[in-house]
Amino acid sequence: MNLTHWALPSDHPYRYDGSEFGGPSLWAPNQLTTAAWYDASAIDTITESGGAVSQWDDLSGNDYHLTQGVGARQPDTGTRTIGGLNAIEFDDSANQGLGISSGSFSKSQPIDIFVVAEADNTGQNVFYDTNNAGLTLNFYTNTNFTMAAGKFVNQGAADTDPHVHFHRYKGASSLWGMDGSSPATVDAGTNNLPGLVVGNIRNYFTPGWTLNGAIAELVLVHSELSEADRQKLEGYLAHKWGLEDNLPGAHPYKSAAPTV
Amino acid sequence: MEYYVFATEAAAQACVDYINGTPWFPIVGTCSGQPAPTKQATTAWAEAPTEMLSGEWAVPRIPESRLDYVGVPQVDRDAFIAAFGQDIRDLTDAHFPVSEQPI
Repeated sequence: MNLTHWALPSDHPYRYDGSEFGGPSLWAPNQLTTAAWYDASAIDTITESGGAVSQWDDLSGNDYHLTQGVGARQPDTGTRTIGGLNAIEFDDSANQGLGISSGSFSKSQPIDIFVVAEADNTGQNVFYDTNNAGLTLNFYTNTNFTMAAGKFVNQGAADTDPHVHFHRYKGASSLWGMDGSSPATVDAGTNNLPGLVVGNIRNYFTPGWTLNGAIAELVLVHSELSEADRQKLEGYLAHKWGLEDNLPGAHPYKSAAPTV
Repeated sequence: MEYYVFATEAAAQACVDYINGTPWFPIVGTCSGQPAPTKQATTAWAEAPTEMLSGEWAVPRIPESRLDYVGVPQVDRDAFIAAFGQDIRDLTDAHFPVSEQPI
C-alpha cells in the first residue's frame, strides 16, 4: 500500500506521486482539462462521519462535488481497497449513492468517462447515471456490462473484478473500451448528462437501480480525448489501482505508468 | 444492512420522524480528521420508510459505529430499541421490489 501517497493533501506541491526521486513525475489527469474528477485514494477529498461519506470532492477545480445528506444512504470510506488504495463502498439494500443536481452540473455529448469500479455481483448494479429521471446516460451491470445514453450497448459478460472502463458518448460514434483494449465503436444514443450520480440512482429518481460494490476513481472529460491522452489515462488508472496486468500487451503503458 | 421492520407505514414513519427529530442532526463531517463545516452535513438519517415485498415497512438501522461517532449515550440507545427496535432484520435488495432501469 502506498501510504505516502495519502500523507499530504492532494494539491500539496511536495506530495509524493510514486515516481522515483530524480526521475520524471508520474502523469495524472490534472495534465488534461477535466470536467469532473473523483479519486477515492485522495482521502482529503472525502468528508465523512464515522466512515459514512457525505461529500466526495471534485478534483477538477470545477467544484462539482458529489454529496449525500441522508445518513442511511451514505456510502462508506475506509472499509475497502482496490489495489491497496481506498475505494468508496456502496450497499445496495440501503440505496447508497452520491450525486450532484442537474441544476449545478450538466454536460452535452461528446463526453468521455473513465471509471475504475467493481461490482459484488453480476446482477443489477449502476455505477454512474444522470441525476434526471427523464434522461439517462449510464453504465451498469445486469448480466452484461452495459453503457446507455438512450440506446443500450451490451459490453459482454459482467464480472465482479475491478476494471478500468472507458466510455465515449457521441451518438452513433460512441466508444467502449475496458482495461486499455482498443475501443469498439457503438451507438449508445444521444442523451446528454444532466446531473451526475454514482452508486444508487433510486435515491434520485424512481424507478432506478442500486450498486453493491465499489468505485475507486471517475474522470469525466467534456470533449473527445485524443488516442494518446486516452491511453495515458488508461495507463495512469491501471497502474495506480493495480490493474496493469489487464492492459493488453500492445498498450503503450503496459510496462510502466505514463510520466511527464 | 440491518433494518427496523414495522407492520404499517405509519409506525415506520414515526420511527423515522423520531430519529430525524433527535439533536444528533445535522452531523458535521470531518475531512482528513478535521471538522469540515463548509461541506455537506448529514441532515437526516432516513427520508422515508421503504415498503418490502412482504408488505412490511423498513427503516435502515443506524450502525453502532455511527452512534459511537455521534456520541449517543447507551441509555438513549436502549430506550430507542425498546420503543422502535423490536423487529430488527438483516435485509438485502432481494427483500425490496425490483426496479426497472429507465432508458
